[in-house]
Amino acid sequence: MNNPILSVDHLSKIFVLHRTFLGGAAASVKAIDSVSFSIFPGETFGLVGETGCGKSTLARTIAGLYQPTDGKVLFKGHNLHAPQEKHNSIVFKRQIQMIFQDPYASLNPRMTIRDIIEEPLSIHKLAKGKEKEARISSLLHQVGLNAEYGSRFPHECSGGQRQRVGIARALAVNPELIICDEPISALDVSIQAQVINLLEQLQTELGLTYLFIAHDLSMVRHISTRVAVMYLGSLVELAPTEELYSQPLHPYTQALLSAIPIPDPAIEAHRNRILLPGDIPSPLDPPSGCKFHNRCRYAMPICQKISPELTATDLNHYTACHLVK
Amino acid sequence: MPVLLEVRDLSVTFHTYAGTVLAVNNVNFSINQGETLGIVGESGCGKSATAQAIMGILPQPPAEVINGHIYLNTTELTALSEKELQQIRGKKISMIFQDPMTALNPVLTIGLQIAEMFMQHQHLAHQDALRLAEKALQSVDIPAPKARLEQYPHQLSGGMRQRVMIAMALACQPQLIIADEPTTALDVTIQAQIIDLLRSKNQNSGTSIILISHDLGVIASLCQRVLIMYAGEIIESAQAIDLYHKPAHPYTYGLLQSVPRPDRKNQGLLSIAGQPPNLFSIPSGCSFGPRCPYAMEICRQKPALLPIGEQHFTRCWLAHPGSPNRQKLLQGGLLIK
Repeated sequence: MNNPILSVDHLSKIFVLHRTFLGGAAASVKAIDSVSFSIFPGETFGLVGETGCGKSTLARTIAGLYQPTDGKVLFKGHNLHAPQEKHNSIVFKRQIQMIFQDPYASLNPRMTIRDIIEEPLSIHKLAKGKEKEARISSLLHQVGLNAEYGSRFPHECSGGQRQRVGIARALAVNPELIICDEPISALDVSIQAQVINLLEQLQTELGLTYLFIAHDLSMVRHISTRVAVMYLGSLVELAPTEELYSQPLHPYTQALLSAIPIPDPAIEAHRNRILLPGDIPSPLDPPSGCKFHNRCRYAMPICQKISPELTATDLNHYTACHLVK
Repeated sequence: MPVLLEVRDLSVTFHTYAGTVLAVNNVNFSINQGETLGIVGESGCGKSATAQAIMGILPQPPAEVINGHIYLNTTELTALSEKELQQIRGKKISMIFQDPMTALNPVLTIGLQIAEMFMQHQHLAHQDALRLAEKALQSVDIPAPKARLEQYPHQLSGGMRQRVMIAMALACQPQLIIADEPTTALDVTIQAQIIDLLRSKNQNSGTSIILISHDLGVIASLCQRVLIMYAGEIIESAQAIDLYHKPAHPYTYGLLQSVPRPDRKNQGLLSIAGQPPNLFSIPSGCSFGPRCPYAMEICRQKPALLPIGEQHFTRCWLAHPGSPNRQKLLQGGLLIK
């Protein structure tokens, strides 16, 4: 395969909650725990997991909104967070853009749609004068909005239209990688499909690469080429989409997939679910060894002691479980 | 099975600064004893307002029930005083809300909030009520129920809080539970636990359930019969199997096509054009007309809810006896390719 556009290498992020009076950490959360993966040009890399598993922290660390505690994020081979790359970092960061979950909170209510899309163009000095205005209206057109929307404010738009504005803002600087952090979970069902179809169409037109983060496993299957499953800050499984959904190897992935309701009562009537006992443990105090062992059907003594590494069980299929080796 | 609850000609308006909106428009349906009924629709379609009208907890004002009768067995709920309604709420009909954090009182212990149900409806003493509260927590599979009695809502996880809500709703063995998006705030593995719990209560104690949701998967996993609402109206109602396999309204079909299937390979998603109507300016005629790929001249007039099969109704001109496409629609050849 060709070179990855983005490589994440043993990335960790620890949030310190309280400090002792000498400044040491008294309580901390390991939101991302030594995560490694690569994304290749043109693919859609799906990242799924439940609340608090660290998927949004991972997205924000890759986008440069958080400083990693440990590990590296390499964009086309360049370390985004290294001090010696500082002069280059604005160039690289322009090529990584983000679409946020909440289209109500991620647009400034006091700016018009035109100004929202214009801002990144000015910051990165990409266009001026007439050229800039032409670019703004072509961006609006690209995401399926009339040019007249430019003069509106966010509150005058519906949720789906706002999400389109968020997409236009991300596209303004000609990025190569777009991080979509739950881009549809705040939208109505019939609007979700519109936004997903738009994202797919833009990918074909512009050759974009997506990191698509969601908790809706059906939508992730629909849009992704490869999928990674996260549990309490670590990747537990990573595989090409069809393989992950048809032959999940990690017990957590199996339970997660069996929990999704299928919109067909005939199938639902005869389904056996793997019900996980209990709740997701608090990330403040994660279980020892394999973090999933206290909810796992197949837990063995070794699982309490040693945390399994993400290892290749098959070509392109990686699993972090003592059972699959 | 005898009818448990009947809603007749229900219309609800909300008076707002921007004008009056008709949130529920002439809704009719009933639910039998032991039945599970799903109500599906997008935000603003009137599904929650319908539920609140049944419970008698619509905030009036701004809401106003302008028309309609609601019967529970033979009692007309809409004719009761607030004091009489309090005897029915929680005892005969209870409700599970979407967000258990805002529905539970943050400054009272879990134990006291459940015990209140027994003290109010069965006039038990405090200690006896607490003992029953412990049993109620046990019945929804909460581990260490005795210790939980002393805890406050913020000490529990989201899934646990929803279980507490269900324990409260079930406390007095009501005949009907209305669950308004009970799993929307929860993760998918926790959602599976809650749906499983509701299903076992329905099967073991014959409690009827009205499940309100926008998630067609959740509805399919629990409900026997389904109503689809759009802009305040019921636009299709059918047995779950018929609704999912032979949808007879273009909106229902569009909704089903716009959610990807977790058990199938990538197929194209068919999205519904446009957006749900602004309730201040609902289109005259068919409210779905402006977004409908099959819209005809006659769709400027309001279609009636037409019977097209056993317990299957659709509000669409395509299904009218005079429509040339009626046969094709009924056989499933029109909408389904």
